[in-house]
Amino acid sequence: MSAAPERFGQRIRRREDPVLLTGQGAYLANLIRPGMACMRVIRSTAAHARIKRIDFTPIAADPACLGTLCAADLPTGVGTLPAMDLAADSAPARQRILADGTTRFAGEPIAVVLATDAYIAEDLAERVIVEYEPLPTVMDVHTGTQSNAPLLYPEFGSNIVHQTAQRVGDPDAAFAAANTIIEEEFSFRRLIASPLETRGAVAMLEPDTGRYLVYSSTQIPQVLRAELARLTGVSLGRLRVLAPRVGGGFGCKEAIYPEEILVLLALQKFGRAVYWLEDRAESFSATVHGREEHMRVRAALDRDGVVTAVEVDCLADIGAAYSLFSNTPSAAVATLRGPYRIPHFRSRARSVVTNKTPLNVYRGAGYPQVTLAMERIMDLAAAASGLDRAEIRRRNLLQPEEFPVDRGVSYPGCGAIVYDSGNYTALLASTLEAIGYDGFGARRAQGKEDVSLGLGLSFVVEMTSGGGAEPARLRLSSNGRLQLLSGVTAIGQGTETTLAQILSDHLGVAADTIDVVAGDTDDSPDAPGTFASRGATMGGNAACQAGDAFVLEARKLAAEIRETRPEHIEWKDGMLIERGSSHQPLTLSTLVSQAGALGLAATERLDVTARFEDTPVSFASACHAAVVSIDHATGVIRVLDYAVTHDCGRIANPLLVDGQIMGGVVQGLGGCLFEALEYSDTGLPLTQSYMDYILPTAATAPRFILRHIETPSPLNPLGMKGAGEAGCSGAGAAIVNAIADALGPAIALPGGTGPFTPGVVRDILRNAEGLRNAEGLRDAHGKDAPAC
Amino acid sequence: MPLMARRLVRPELVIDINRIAGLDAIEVLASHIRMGALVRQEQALRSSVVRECVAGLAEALAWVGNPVVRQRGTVIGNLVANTPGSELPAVAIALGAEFVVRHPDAEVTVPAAALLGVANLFGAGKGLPPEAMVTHVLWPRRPGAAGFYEVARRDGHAPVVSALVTMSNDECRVAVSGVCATGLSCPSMARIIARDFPQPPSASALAGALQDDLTGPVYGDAHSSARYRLDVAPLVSRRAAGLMALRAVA
Amino acid sequence: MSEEWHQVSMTVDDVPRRARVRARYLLSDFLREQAGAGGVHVACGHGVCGACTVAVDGIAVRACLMLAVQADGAHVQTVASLSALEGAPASGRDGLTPLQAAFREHHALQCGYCTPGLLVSTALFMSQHKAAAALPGNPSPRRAAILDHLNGHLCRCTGYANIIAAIESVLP
Repeated sequence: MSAAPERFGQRIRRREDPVLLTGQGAYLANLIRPGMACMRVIRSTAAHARIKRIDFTPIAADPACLGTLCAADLPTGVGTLPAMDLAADSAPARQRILADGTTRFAGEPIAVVLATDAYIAEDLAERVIVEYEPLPTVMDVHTGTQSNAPLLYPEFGSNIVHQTAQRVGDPDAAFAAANTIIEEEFSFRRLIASPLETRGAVAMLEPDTGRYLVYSSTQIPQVLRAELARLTGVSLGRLRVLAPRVGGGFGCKEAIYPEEILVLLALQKFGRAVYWLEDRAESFSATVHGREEHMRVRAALDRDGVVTAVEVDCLADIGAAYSLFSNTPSAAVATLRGPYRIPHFRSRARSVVTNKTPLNVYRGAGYPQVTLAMERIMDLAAAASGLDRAEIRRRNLLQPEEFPVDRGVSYPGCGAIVYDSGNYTALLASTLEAIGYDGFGARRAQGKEDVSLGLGLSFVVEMTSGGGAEPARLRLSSNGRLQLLSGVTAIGQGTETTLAQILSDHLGVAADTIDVVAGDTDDSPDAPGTFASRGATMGGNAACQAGDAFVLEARKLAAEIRETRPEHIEWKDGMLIERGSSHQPLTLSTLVSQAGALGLAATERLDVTARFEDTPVSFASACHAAVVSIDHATGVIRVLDYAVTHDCGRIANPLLVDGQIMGGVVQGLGGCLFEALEYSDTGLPLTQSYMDYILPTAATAPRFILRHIETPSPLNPLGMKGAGEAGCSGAGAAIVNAIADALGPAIALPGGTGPFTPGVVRDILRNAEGLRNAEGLRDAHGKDAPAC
Repeated sequence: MPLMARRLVRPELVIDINRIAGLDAIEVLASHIRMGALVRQEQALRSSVVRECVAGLAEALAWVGNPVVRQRGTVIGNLVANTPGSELPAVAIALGAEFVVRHPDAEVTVPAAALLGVANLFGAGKGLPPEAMVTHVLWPRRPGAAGFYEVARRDGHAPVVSALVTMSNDECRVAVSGVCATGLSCPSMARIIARDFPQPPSASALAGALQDDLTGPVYGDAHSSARYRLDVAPLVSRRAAGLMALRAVA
Repeated sequence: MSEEWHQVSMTVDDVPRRARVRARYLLSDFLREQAGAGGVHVACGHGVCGACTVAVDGIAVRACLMLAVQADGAHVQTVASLSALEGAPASGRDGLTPLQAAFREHHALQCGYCTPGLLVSTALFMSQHKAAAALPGNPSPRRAAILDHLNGHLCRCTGYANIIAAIESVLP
């Protein structure tokens, strides 16, 4: 019984789900076997210090200790971890596998201990003595860029390790001619991706072949394999890297970490399989951080509310050393103008090293920050111009007929930024309608006594599908099933379902005859991995390209079987039909058997690899609107309603895209209202648990109104764009704009700092005029009913 | 357990009392409700006896944690942990609860305030010798109306400031958590509320009364500053009083 | 350093399991390592996120907050016993219970890491909710009760809306 093919655009339920729902998902922790040694990392407890000595003697004689490693034990010439977004003149602030002589952030790996189980490993690790000689710390970019700042790397002469600058048009002339100039500073707090699954790695020998197998909860197994080879000297041919089921990544598993290298080094040195599982407390300093930047933005307006120029100067706090993509988030300042024309532009971004965990991309990769900055500027510009906030945006948006739009700037890893397609005015109109913009004044007036409502807008234009070509291999199994080997690592976004759906539609075969596998470097040795919202677009296009190549081979083989020419064989709905013949069409199963009867191996012939070459990246867009309430008495903010009109080109599976948008919005909401990493005065992380780092819960999620517009990308045959990040990137901006709206024009917001905790809100209210009313003291004569 | 998992406490001996028979009873006595050390928070929350006899306790329990936490966590465990900001310790002090403490050679009844009024890093247990255990808590029977209100950094997260206001036979009691390191009974605030009842009390008067009811320095931590807590507590109390007034009228 | 070892036995998903374990050995580790219950996921280790929720003698418990010895003699159920916890059979080609099917239908999971603990907890919540709904004067409106229940679970992927919808669809 053959089901009908799935169709592009259908809300197909996920094939991954039954395994996950029944608790059978094989995550990294599920791969641990008895007999493996447990590796525990000894981490620096000083933010910046010379390491005077590391003394293993308290545990050296303990039979439970299976081995130890510190920097002195690493093979000579073992290199540093990779950084993929450096410029020729970037200072080489590279991360060591183990701290060597100096530690530069609390949590930095100093040594490892191997033991028979996790409890013992922790016991042993505690007994190792590490002696530190403290050095002065740099805990923020302002301190770090002073002329007499302590230097993390004295040999560089500066804590500024990387910079980029871009210019379009003549911003100086535009500012000189401006009718109004708006200036604002923004500080973005350090946040973490915090997927529910922490990191982990396993290294073992593959039975029979003697190859090294490394499993890691990673988004980029292929990159990891290349780096393992480079750092350990093991040849690529002897290395297989696999990503098992991954419990979320959001960019923090898009990095190469010391622990991933150490498990292999430990296996090589001590000869037994090794596992490492990160615990939640250590993850707060062991796994990369995100977002921390400080920006100054200036905008020039003419008399009509048109923003003629904008310039931004950004200092990024990238922590103690490069991660894989430490400079990329701040490079997003090049895209500050978002959907707005703004003909004149200047940006500068500088990366500053500080004594904190390294910074990397985190969902949105810099777009959340630039979006918030630009959208706050637009609201401030509206107020300065006396214009409605929607109207000022309308006056500045790029129009549909202007596409493609070369922005005149570039971005690392993707070259020139050219917006391929979009309809921003339609996004705006749709979102205004969805959130009830026109009627909001009436809604606001109906609010309770000491609770005020606010509405905020934001616009995101987001680069998607960067990162290079995408391979796909499609082959026929002997039972007639199709197997797609994809390089798109699954981290929860449902790629298996989406790719099968796209291929099913493209080939006209039932989706349940297609198996999708990913995450194994044996299957897909040279894929980039999962990031930049590229999976469905690049993976889907690659799958279709492979599908076309597959069909070509199938027609050739069928032609041989039928002793005719391939031109006479047609592929239709999974069957090969000889034109003008009364023969039965060949299914893939019968193709296999009939080919076999003729001594032809169908499964060898029908095994094709395609490579979807990277064309310039595509740009998804979205217009967000948030309605918030602020309780003046307690300072508590709630996000009540949230509308997004999203454009990711042609949508393969709207069910999954909606899930990405909502998940991203709630992550952005968390960063805006609840989440923050805190450090002590001496640079030690104070955030050690989910009691400290507050994640959003169901009770904090808003009511969602989701809409879609599809402006297909002309850059790929499927017309798709990515959808993984634009939900997150717009949320902080819409919510902060809504908070400003709720507080009213008389109250100035601190520049984009998060989180907006009840304490921060109460401080704002206390500092503002009309505070007396906010405290409810007007009730002195008992006139007010208590608000519940 | 979380403290043990993070190696912040390392007891030499852990005694699990979960299997001691008879400690999970909620009993009605002449002038008290008695709960054993194994009475779970959820059990107490759902108990009609509690609702009918001890105004305010069920209202406060509804805000403790979440259902899974409440099903396993015990009332006495929560009280003895005496975490700053925790809802129940202030309620126990304000309602005049008492602990039955079993020592190896004696059993004594002490006011809950005696143990809970002292701030200790790892709970009120520091006020007891290691071989003593709180076996029961006695809640005075005082039916009436109650209102509870709480502010946290996020719904369901650790409470920052909360207030319970009860009215029983014209007697008003107020418990405030999160302003001092230990829970507060607030008789001055209670007087203001009773004086103005059924009109809502004045927030500024409550703020002034709170100053009189403080037992120590105002508490602040990484979640919320002392200034915020002092600032918000009168308004939170006012809301609790309002909720109590609605129930009293009903 | 000396520590005590204990002989522990319990049934896990109806299978008897025994082992000699340290006093400080966590139930979450026992279930994963001694009972092969790979669906018990440790995400935070300090009882906040709910991913490790199991049923111990019919009560929802965070397995990371219980010592294995405390579960000696207990009847422990993980997501593998969801059908029993829910009181409804698994059915259909994929063998899903009504709650699991609702999660799939509503796209209430993405990476799946928080899901098994959430399902166990929700199944128990559902039976309590039904019991409470049968009592006179039931205080909790349905949505408020669901949100209160979900306060005990963290999910980083979905944004929760679909989880709420899935639960609402199976709660009478």
